[in-house]
Amino acid sequence: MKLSLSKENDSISLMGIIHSIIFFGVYYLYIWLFVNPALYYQQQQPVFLIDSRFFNEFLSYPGGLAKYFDAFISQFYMFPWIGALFIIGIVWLITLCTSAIIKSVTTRKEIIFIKYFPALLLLSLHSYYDFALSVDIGLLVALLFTVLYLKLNPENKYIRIIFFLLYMIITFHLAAGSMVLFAIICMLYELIHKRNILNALVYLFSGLIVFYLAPVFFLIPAKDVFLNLIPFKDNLSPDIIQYILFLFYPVAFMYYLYASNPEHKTDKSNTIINKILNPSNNRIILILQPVILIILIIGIACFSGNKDNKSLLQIEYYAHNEEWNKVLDSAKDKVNDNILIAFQLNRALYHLGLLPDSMFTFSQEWGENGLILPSTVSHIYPLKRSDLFFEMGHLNEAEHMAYEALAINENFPWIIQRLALLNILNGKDQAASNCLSLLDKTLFYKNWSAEYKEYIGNKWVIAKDKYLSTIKSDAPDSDFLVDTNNPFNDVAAILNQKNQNKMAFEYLMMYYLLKGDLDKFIDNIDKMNMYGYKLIPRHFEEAMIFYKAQGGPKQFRIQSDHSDQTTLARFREFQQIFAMHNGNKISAQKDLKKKFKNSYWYYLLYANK
Amino acid sequence: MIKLLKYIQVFFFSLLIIITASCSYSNFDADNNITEVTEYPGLDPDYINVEIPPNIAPLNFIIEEQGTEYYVKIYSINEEPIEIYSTESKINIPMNQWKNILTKNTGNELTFDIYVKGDNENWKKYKSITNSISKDPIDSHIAYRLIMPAYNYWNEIGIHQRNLENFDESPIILNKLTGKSCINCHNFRANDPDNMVLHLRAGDASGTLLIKDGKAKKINTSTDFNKAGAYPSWHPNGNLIAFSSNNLILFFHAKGVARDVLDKGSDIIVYDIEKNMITTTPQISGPERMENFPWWSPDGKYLYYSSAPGFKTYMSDVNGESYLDFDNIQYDLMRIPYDEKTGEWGHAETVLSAEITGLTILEPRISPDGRYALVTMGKYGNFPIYLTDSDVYLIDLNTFEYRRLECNSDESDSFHSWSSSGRWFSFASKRRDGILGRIYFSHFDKNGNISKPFLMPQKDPSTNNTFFKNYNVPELIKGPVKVSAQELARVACDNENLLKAQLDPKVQARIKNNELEERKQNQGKPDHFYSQQ
Repeated sequence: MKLSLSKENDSISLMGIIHSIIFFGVYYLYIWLFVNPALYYQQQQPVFLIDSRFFNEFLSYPGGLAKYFDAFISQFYMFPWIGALFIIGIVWLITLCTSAIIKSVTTRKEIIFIKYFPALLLLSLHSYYDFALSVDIGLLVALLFTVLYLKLNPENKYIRIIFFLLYMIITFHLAAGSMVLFAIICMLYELIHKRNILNALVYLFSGLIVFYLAPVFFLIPAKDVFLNLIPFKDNLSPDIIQYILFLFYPVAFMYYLYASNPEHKTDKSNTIINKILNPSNNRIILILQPVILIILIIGIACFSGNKDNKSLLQIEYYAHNEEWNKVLDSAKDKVNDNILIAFQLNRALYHLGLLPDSMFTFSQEWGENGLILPSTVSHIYPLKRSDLFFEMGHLNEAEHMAYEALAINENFPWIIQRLALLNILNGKDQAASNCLSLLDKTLFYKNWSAEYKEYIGNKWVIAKDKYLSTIKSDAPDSDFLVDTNNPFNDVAAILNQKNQNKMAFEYLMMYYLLKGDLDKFIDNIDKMNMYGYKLIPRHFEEAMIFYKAQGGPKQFRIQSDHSDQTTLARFREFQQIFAMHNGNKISAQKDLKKKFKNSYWYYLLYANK
Repeated sequence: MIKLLKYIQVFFFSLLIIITASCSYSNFDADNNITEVTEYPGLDPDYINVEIPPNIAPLNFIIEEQGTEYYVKIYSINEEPIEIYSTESKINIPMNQWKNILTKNTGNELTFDIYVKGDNENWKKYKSITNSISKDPIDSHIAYRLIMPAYNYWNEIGIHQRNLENFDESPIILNKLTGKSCINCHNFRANDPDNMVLHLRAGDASGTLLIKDGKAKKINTSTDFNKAGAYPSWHPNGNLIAFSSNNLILFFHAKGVARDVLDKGSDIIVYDIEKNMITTTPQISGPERMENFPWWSPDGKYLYYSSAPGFKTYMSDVNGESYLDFDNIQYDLMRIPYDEKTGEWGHAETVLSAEITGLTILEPRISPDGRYALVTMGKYGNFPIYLTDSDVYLIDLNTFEYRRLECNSDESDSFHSWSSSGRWFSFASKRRDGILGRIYFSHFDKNGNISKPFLMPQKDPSTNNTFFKNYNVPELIKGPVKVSAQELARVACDNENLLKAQLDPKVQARIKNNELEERKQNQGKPDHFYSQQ
């Protein structure tokens, strides 16, 4: 009989391990392949330096160490499979702790299901890209010390108080507000399990004293002492799930404390719920459990996360890696959703050499702000503005925006990389060297730093670098005052000085087209010959034909061998359709849209505001 | 298994001994093959031929020479030499030995012998570096603002204090405790840390924080007449603080230094602490001129300040559009007598005009003996920290002769501060990289001669390169500010006990005469900027 019981227990343990492997296997694949930690990196832009000053800053406030580990682990999000591995590791430890806490007060079997509950909630939370791993780490610290308290549990109540106080201080320094969870579980344990009111009261008041005294010892606002690393602090979208996560532990703990009390035990062995919960009763249910868990994962995955934000981050990710075709593919149907998508789409068009040919193929609802992000969003997207100004050779504004980005996200490597390149191009060797020295303190930008150290003070190396030398030669030679309200005035000023600056030319011309300012467009059309277009770009030709057809007074010459003759034919067809509708703009729209919705003419007629 | 564990234990123990031994063992031997060279070694920071205070923290440095091992010997006449052997080029000088050698050798030379072992196993000895230890100690602390190179936005800002006798740094106030407000314009009464004023801008904590005799309170210095006070200066009587009331806008250049600041009509106001009253005189707050950077003379009889013709003077109309000749705006150095007994102002006079210097004259700071003024001069404008050509100048107030000091660089040098003895001054310089302001000190003797400046020492000298924050407005103080950052933040956020400054009835009368309207008209907005330079 004993032997068979033992075999049965072994079999349940084995099944438990298999459940765990399947559960975390699917969990891992979801985080790695579907959520994609690289997008966390894109969203959170974490900073980690191997530097004592950097470390000391985290030591200076409660919860700082949890954030320090978050900053460290977050660096690995750049490699999605490793980033996912870290997340799974932490969630797995949380699950182990959850199991251990419940096991410490009960022998009931339903924990096989229940122990995965926090992991499932965290799965939902990790589907949001602004969810910080420091919350997981804070929770894990609180649970680890709870387990320690419950396992190393001396009979002497005074020794238990000493243990509690010691653990509480450590937990508070490591995990700030998450300490509350530790204190509450310990208090419930003393109150319900040990029936020790004295200890419970000591725990309650010592917890309050910590919060009262902490602002005296730490340089942290009082509210952060209380709320750092718990759901009430940050205004994250899935608040309710975080509340459930943190409330789960005291509620479950109380339930098990209550249920394990012999006075409350009833014979429920035959209820259906217990059959489901207690796998030892039914082997089929035991086998079905992983299936149920996977269904739960899929279900939670379907209802969690912000799909729009994911799309935006994906586009941003491709843009950062200069995968312009992927930007185009991902952005083309979402261009009206977000100004940043329109901006990256137009940027991709430029880099693919398609801007003056295909810009009006895509909706341009955002107008000129979709070409260059306006200064009004500088505080949200400073680095994106810096990206564009850098490519255009508007180096001072690229630097201006990079410093705005740095003020918002101190020492983020992408910003430091930008500043390093700007300083190299501006001949500020020491400043460039400082930027590269800072990158040497990161985990994954040392190679980049080593590569660009060769550039410092070495004009020949810069000259050989086609990308940087083009930017340098496109940059203005003499000063003008930046027009922060209308960056296209700056673009025109750059083009006046550097007429070989193709990006400035195309952006300015497309700006004129967007504004319907054909006079200025025609004023600049002669410059087109400098850029080696095999054929006149489609939208340029459309605008020129339209200008002529409207009787525009300014003269310009189109070289016939560069002209696409079909454009003229298409314009005639456009005019015919318009004439068929007696010049009625509204009734002509449907027919014109069928054939000409990708044309500048259609934009001028229907989309230009 | 137990045997294996024992072996592991023995292995790690031996390893520990080897590591410890290798760290402590100096393998520099004077009998080694040593080649002497006649050049100084590359040193970062440049601590070559400098004069240092006898109470300064160790001048840790990096030897910028390729090598596998480094040996440094620091010695003077008295006390045992300090010997440092390192496999790293970063040299950290032991604090106690450094203190001993400095205190026992004031007025003597301090020599640094530097040896570097090359790849060929031979040691190279560089030319000995001879610094001197001054007899004049420097004030023990310095207060400064730490801020990222800022344009429009900011995140974390703090006013910090550093003990110059060691490397302790602590915050005086942090904006993360005050709702991320901008914190700036800190100043002390005659280098006294118990009497301090600073300004917070933006957010609920906005206002002027005043620490008087160690007690903090918050004041709203803005009135119907003026915006809140910015650049402050304490009158030596401790009851008056002169402030600039600025009307500045930030604008940007496409080439060269990116940032620039335009004054559209600053004035000077004076806050009477006892009466909780703002007062001024038309001579320093009239619509015709822009007044900035007030500074009381140590005897309190004069208020020095920078002053330029009104903003509209530089505007011109072309085809109905207004143009501003921004880079011809230059400030004169002026002063106005003040009688603290009667509260009466005398007639303002020009101390040194921009017409004579050809440069804008800013930030007057009078030496504690009243003999000299340190100022910043540059080509134009009022914001020297952004302009590469700004330099520190010295004016002899007896003869009104002025000279550019030898401590300047090709980058911005500005925001100087006298020590309480007048024998040292600090200033912020961007000479290292053109971007980040760092603090330098120079000795100043009674004849107005200065020593080569040296960079504020850091525990880890590499942070001079990788710490991406500016040290703004360094102010030497005689000790630490004792009011805690938490207490200052509490006062800053306590708007229930905010003191709203009253306006002097005499100034109120000026408002009735429509002077504010006149001032507004003088602060018109140009359609365009242009440059004559």
